[in-house]
Amino acid sequence: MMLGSCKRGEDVASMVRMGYWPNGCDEELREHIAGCGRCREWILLTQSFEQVRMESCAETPLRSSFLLWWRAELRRRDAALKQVGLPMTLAHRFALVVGLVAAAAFLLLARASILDWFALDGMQGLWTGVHADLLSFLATFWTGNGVLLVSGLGAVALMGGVVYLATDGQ
Amino acid sequence: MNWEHVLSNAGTGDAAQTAEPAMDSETFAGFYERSARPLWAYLVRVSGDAALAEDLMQESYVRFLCASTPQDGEVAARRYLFRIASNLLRDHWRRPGVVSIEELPDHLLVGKDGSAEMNSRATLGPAMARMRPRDRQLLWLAHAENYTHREIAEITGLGVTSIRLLLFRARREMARLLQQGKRAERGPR
Repeated sequence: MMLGSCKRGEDVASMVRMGYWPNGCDEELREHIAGCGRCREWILLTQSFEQVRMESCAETPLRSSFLLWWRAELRRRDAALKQVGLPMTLAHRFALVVGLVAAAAFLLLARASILDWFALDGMQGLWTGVHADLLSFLATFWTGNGVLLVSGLGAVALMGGVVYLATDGQ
Repeated sequence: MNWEHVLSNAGTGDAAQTAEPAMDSETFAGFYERSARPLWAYLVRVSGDAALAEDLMQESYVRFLCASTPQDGEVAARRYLFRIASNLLRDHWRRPGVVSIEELPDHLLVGKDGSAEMNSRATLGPAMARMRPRDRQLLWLAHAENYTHREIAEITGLGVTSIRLLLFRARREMARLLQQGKRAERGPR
């Protein structure tokens, strides 16, 4: 602890720390302290704080260190688990976003057909409309877009495989 | 019975075991025994609230154990513990709606039994209550814990030059308040 600009500061500090103040203090240092406001101030503060520290230490509510240690252990494990589960959480969020984008794209592309279905009268008309649309949809793949269908199914299977492998790895 | 072994087997699998504890439970027990009292004294005198000090003390130890503890001996570990506690205190004061120690009446901060051995606290308590939290912190670390300016800088995150200046001012103010308190104790003659 420095005592600012007083050149005897260190001497005063060590004398107080060792418990020599006031009875064990030599006469020369005592005279210096009597004439040095900064040293007197420092002694007043240090003695007050040390006394309060001693009193407070005696009242410390000590808990079981073992319980604290296990509380920390559980928190550490929890943090480790969260870290390990992070890729899974990200994969779930990614899958959700892809699903939502796909649904939005489907609704956008098929909005004309959907509006047509709602324009039909009764269940019979609805079924006829859906049937006709499905037939024309499948017919487009059989007449040349088979590659698109196969690659789409392949992408879905690949995505499932990636998620499975990521889960298995964790 | 070795509870650590039982609990680690009943734990959360291989992944959790990769996180190494900062100290084993026996080393920690010794460290806790030696460091809990000064830490408590620091927290309770700076915050002025025993319940808060107890919460913060427990949280400080848990965070200390969860973090990677400095490996340069117990002195550094203790300083690191005080740093965690100081950060927790600062976070507490920054939280909105927290009642500052300045708003508490003096009788809540001063010892209630009035015995002779409580005189120093009765004098220091109201004086500390009138200081700013940061000044209380600095004064405690400097005068009760005997930390150097560099160590206080490490604990509080302030610069060494700022600490020298802040401590100088806080010391003057505290000395003035203590002298006032002592004069008031002696009463008019």
